[in-house]
Order: sequence, then C-alpha cells, then structure tokens
Amino acid sequence: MERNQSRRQIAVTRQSLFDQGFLDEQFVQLEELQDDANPNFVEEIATLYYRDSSRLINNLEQALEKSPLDFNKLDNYMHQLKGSSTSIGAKKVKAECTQFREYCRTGNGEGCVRTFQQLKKEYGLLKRKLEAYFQMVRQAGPSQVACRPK
Amino acid sequence: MVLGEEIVTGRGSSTTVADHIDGAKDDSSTTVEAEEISESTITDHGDDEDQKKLSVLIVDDSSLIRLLHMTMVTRAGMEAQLAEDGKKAVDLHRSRASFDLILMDMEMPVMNGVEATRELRAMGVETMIVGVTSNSEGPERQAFVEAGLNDCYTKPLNDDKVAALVQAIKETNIQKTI
Repeated sequence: MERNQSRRQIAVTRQSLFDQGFLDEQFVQLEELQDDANPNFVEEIATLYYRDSSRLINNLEQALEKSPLDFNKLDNYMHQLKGSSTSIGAKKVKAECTQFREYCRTGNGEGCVRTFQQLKKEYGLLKRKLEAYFQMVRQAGPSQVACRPK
Repeated sequence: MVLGEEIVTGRGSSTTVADHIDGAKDDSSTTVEAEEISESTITDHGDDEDQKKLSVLIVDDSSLIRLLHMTMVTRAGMEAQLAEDGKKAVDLHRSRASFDLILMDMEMPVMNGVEATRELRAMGVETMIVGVTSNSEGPERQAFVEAGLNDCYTKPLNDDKVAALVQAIKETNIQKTI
C-alpha cells in the first residue's frame, strides 16, 4: 500500500514538472531510453547536464562582468547551454536561452543581464525539483516505470 | 544528485559516466560494444557481412550529447565510438579507422564539424556523415551541409531519426554490393 502511494506521488510529481512547464517532450524521450541495462539513465543525463551547464553559467557570469560585453562570446556560451537544455527537455531554461541570444543578436546588454538572472532562477528551480524527484524515485526502488504525460 | 558510476553498454563491456565526461580514459575515443542485435535489425540475407554490427562515430564536445546519442545508436544495434572534437575524428580516420556512419556536431573546439567534414572528404572518406546541430536553419547550417554532409539533423536525435539512419546505411551497403 505504502509503495503504491509513493509511486502515485512520484507520478504526480513528475506530471507537475510537465504541467508547470519545467519539462517538455524531450524528457519523455530520455525516459524511453531508460531500461534494465541503463536503469539510472535519466538521472545520469541530468547529472551531466548540471555539470556541463554549471561551467557554462560560470563562464557567462564572468563574461557579463566584462566591459564592453563580447556578445559573440556570450552567444557562443548560451548556444551551448541552450543545446544541453534542449537535450534534457528543460523547457523554461531553453526559453530563457533563446531570449538571451536574441538580446546578444541586438547588442542589448541590459536585456542580457536581466534574462541571465531569470535563467539562473529557472535553472536553480528545475535543479531542485529534479533532485527531489530523483530522490523519490531512488527511494521507491526499482521497477518504477515512467508514465507518459496526458 | 548521484553521479552514476557505471553505464552497462553491452556484453562484458562497460564505461563510466566519467569516461563520457572526459571523453574516455586515456584518449578521446571510446569503443562501446552494442548489445545483441535484435532479430528485427538483421537482414534476411543471412550473410556474415550483413549481420556485422554497423559502426558509428559520434563526434560532439558535449558529454551529455555523446552519452545520449551513444545510448540511442546502441539500442538501434550499432557499435559506437566517441570523439570529443573534429580533430580527434580526423585523426581516427588517419589511423585507418572506418565507420558506417559519422554523427558530426557542428560547433566544437579545436576543429569544428564544418572543418572536420571538409577534411574527411578531402581525405577521400566516403562514409555517410550526418550533421547534428542545434542550429535549425541559417547560413552556418548551409555551410555545414556544403562541407560534405549527407544529411543534417537538429539536435537531439530521437529513435525515429536513428532508425531512419540505420535503414539508409543498410540500403547504401546493399547498393554497394550490387
């Protein structure tokens, strides 16, 4: 009974990540790649994402402190971050990346700074939510099957 | 968040997540054995050549993309090797490695995908090279294609695209034997 409850809670938590716009269909693609041979695949991908992206965010932070701003460099970093975010299905983070790149294109430094703050916020939120979700999944044990969003 | 310690990728073969992050232990490429090919991926010829696993070189500076695409192609019955930039891919070919498919990222340090593709074609490499890029359109993508790609997909790949690639390779290989 308790196991069923925890699985229901996992499903509800997972669905909320989609309903609240944190994740998109790409995350489902990752879940479909998880199987007995790769039982922790999604979490491993997420771990790689946070490792790669934290480096990029640090680079962006440093680049945004320079004057004048090197929009090409900023755009290059953000291109990489957008690519990773797209691959994991990080919908809101991806949207902020797109907006940031648009500001780079138009040379809008203020817009870049503002969007970067928002991006960090979304990035941090997603990270906390995913950490909590994966912790629940780990505690529930194996044979937790992902449910496709309705 | 726990860093996964091991990814089991096939019979008696495994790599760690750290390998994919750092682009393999001592060099920048890692050979990964694919799992058993399912019956559905084996042609009806019964020929040894047809039952040989298709090999793919995944060239991308992102450890996440390397892992993601490696998992996809392995599930499709292919054997994957990894390279973290275009130069490593070119060096592999200079040392006589060959593949049925190359998945080439566009933007990479050291040597990008455009340069690597041009170099490989100049070397006479006729392998199917498929670009995989975050750029969905524009002059950069066009330049990438014109460097010598057979096709270009937007990242990330999915199972359908991989299946289409496997089919395309098999058809190409069949035509070569005729």
